Amino acid sequence: MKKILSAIIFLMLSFHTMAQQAVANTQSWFEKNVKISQSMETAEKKEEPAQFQITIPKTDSSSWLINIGISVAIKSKSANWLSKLTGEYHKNTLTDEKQNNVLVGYKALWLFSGKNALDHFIEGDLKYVYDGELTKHSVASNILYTFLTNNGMWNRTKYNSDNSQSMRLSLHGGIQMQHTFQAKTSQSKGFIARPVFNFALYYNLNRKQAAFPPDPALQFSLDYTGRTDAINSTGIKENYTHLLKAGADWFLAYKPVRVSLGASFNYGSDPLKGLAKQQFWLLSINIFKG
Amino acid sequence: MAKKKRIIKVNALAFHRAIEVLKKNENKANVMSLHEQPLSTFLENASDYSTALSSIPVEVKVAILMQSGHPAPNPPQLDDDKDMADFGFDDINYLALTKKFNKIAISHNAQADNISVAAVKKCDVVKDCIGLVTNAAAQLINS
Repeated sequence: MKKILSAIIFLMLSFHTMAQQAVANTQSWFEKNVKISQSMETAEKKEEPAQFQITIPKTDSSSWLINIGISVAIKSKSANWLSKLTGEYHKNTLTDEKQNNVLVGYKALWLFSGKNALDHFIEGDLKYVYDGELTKHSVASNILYTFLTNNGMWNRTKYNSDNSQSMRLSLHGGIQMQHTFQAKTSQSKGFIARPVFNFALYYNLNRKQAAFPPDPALQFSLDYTGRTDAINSTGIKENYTHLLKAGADWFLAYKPVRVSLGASFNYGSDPLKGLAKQQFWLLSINIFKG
Repeated sequence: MAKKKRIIKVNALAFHRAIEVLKKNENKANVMSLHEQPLSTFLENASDYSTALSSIPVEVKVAILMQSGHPAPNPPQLDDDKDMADFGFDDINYLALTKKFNKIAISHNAQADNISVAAVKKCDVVKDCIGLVTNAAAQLINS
């Protein structure tokens, strides 16, 4: 017994060297630093997969649906700040009002405050926006607040007792600013400030698996954004605009990217992304990589 | 006459590091064993190391399971080699997890190194996170 005690005491007192545990990064740079989804606007949009559909008829003009966002992480040593370079491309020739929109910029996420139950975040971005339908060049920025509940389901997936169902909510609120410096029509030029809010809900029916967390089999989603042009020096009045997306996804594959067949109902507009007011149903193959 | 059970209280971080050093050297010859077990196994079994809330591995596993939304976090059931990618954390979750990891490290050593969110995102498996927090908390213990 004395020998055991001596051994323990010796080990406790003799830590002069400790080999650094190598954090072996067996995953590739692509898997660690690149995200693919439909939009990089807010962190919760990770649940919205990129969408693709292209038809090239023999005689008629081709039709396109592409909704994709890609981000590449920027190195940092911070414990409460993340930033990335982002790009989005939205092209839709299938609906009543066409969309052709490119966004390229920088995005940051800052955990600025929090106690045990609640963490507070600011999401901001600065980007160049090109609207191909209106031939419009803009600089835009979003500054949004959101929060995470460490025991709840706000920005955190919460499972039921047998993990067969899970749900996640998010709420963002803040301001969107856009300055159009070049456009085909002079009335499009000017500055707009839009107070904006977004509510999103994701509900999963999960596969029966022993491992946690289980893969989702079906996902139902609801995303609503509301905004108004509180300040508008352009010649085009927007007033209150909104965009509602309600959808369902059936998952086909999970790794290394998540692939699903999706159906969604879309109603409303998104002036920043050149989505004019309309409503349409969409069936598509969706790809997401978080 | 039955032997009286003795309880020895030790610093959780120091105990964890002692176990790691023993495990690292137990593949070599002439290792110390007790009751036909490697010394690290004997010490783990004789202690509440695997379940004690003050143990870094347990605290890290609880933090990961809580962030992932598990309805009843049970750290011993979380495998050390579980892929972190399986939890599907987004940037908001990683920032919150990093904050929790820093809190764990500081609770063991007020001079603990800062853990960056990039370092947490680089962790492939759960035991990488345990190593990250352990190393951050181990600073200045050797000085």
